[in-house]
Amino acid sequence: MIMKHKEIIIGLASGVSAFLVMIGINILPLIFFAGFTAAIYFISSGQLARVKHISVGESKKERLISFDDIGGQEVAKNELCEALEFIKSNDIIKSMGIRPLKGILLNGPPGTGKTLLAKAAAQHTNSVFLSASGSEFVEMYVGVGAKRVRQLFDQARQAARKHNKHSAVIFIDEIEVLGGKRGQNHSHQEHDQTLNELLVQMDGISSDDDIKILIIGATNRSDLLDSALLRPGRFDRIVKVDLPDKKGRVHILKLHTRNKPLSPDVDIESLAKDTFGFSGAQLESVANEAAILAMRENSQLITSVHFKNAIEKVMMGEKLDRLPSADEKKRIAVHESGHALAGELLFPDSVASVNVASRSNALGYVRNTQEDDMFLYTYDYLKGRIAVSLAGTIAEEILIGSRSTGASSDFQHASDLARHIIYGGMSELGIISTEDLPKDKLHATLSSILQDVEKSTIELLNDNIETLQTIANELLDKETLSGDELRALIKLKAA
Amino acid sequence: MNIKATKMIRGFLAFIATLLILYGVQFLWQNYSITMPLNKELVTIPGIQNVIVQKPAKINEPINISISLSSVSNFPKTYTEINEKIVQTLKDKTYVINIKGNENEELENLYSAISLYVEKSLIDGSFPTLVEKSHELANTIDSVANISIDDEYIYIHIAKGNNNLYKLVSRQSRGR
Repeated sequence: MIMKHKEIIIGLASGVSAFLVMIGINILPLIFFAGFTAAIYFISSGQLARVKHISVGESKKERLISFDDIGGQEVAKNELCEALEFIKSNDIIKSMGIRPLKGILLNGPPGTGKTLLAKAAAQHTNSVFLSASGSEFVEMYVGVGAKRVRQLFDQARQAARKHNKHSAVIFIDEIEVLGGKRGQNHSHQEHDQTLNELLVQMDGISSDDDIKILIIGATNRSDLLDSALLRPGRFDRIVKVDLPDKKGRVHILKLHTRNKPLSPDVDIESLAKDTFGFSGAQLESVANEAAILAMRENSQLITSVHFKNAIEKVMMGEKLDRLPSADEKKRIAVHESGHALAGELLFPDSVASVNVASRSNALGYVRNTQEDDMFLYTYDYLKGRIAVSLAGTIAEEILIGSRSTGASSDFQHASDLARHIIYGGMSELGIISTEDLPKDKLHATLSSILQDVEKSTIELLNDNIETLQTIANELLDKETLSGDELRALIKLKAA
Repeated sequence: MNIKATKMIRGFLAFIATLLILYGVQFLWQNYSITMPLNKELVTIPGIQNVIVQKPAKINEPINISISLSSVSNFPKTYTEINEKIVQTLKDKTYVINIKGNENEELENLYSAISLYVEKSLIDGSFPTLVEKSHELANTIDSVANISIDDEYIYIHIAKGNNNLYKLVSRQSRGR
């Protein structure tokens, strides 16, 4: 109210000051006192200023987000919507004697839209939305964190009253910073007090409150959270916000490309296929980078080539001007050809592109794609993937006669896959207890799987050595081969 | 009109309205707590023809009270009465009393002549000489000079026919 009529307050204050001066009262001490009081007020309220306050419908700059604007997360959305119905239909839940939900925890990897879901929840329930990050409560001074928690809840109630709303959604991002297990932190007295205050505030929420408060926490480390925070009555619902599946990726890509001029050759379905494992934020970045690339080329439309380059950029980083020597370049080409050939022979149509152009994260790379998302892996599939990982260094050995250090991450990947085989009970050891498995036995089995796959991969590449050579030469020449070009080369050699 | 201009106008109007209200309140307060009670009290004193109260522009300035006197038989007594009434009304507010008669040039010239003896008496305490000389000088123009002295003031009342001149000279410092 005061802030709304600031100019009138200033006019009144100026009028009073002018009058006092004109009747001969020295107002300098008064001004000094008022300034001192204002300074104390702003310093104390400044502590809370770091807690961002965004109200639904208040800020024009803040675009209102509804659940329709969030792609992918259908399961998370449904679960969240169901929970939010408790806030919307308070009378019904009262008559049924249902205890109101106090908190919802969104748990999932970074960039999967947890903040967007919280904002959409506020919009869905017509609530005031306040967001804060867990780190904002952390302070070296004892009691400050707890004070901020209290202020956040007070602020939520005040904001709801100010906007004539009956509910407020408090979103705390990275809640594991604030709600980590008690007694483990170095400065645990302050840390524990902050968490205790949050628990107390959450306990204070009841269905009779005039302003309903819902806490939405977001974390990607729910394992770090204190058990008191996760028990029913605190965060009642834990909503898993996972990486989007193919359908979700299609939805997200459609959302992020709806305001962009797309060329008719852009196929969202195939883009979704190429972006397996991408989060919502990465998909948004792909759409954005594609538009930037189109703008760089003065193109009026964003083509599928722009999208492919954007995917590679998001996945592997920006292209570098760094030029390896001719020998190194040859080795990189041979290495990547090995991966690509093995990939295509073992998993037909799986290679999206092969590159030897340096990017910030790799000297060269093969980008794979798959028809459908996979959630279960078979023994043969895993062995095939190990073969693809080892094929790079084996190709180097076959065509150049020696191996290089460039394959260390491939070996790591291969070992991880082999470990999956062992832990999945698919190795010669049979079903094992991961905790009780002796290290030497694990090592021996791991080595035997890798050696076994290495042998078969050497045979596979030796059988196709001419194709391998051709791909390497073509790659040296062109730097990039698309999946289709690669398949055409393999077909040509096979014929 | 943009929002900024509207806000500035609203702020300015608030400023003006505040000044008007405060000055209005000040005017009413001075009228009802100073001018009217003073007038009411002072006009009851015999010999007072008119009272003009000049309200101070600033809070620490004294209130100027101009009193027109007709012919009074005992100027010191009248002045004491006036002073008492003012103190009763104004309590601890500062004030300046300005007594006016209906003097003419002849009386003013006479006072100029007497003032020399007034100054002398203030220096050397020769009050009897002052009284004697005042009577002598007043007789020269067929007027009457009444000189009274107390701890604080020298009261001078010169009368000729319907004309009266009143002067109050402080024995410590001039001005009250």
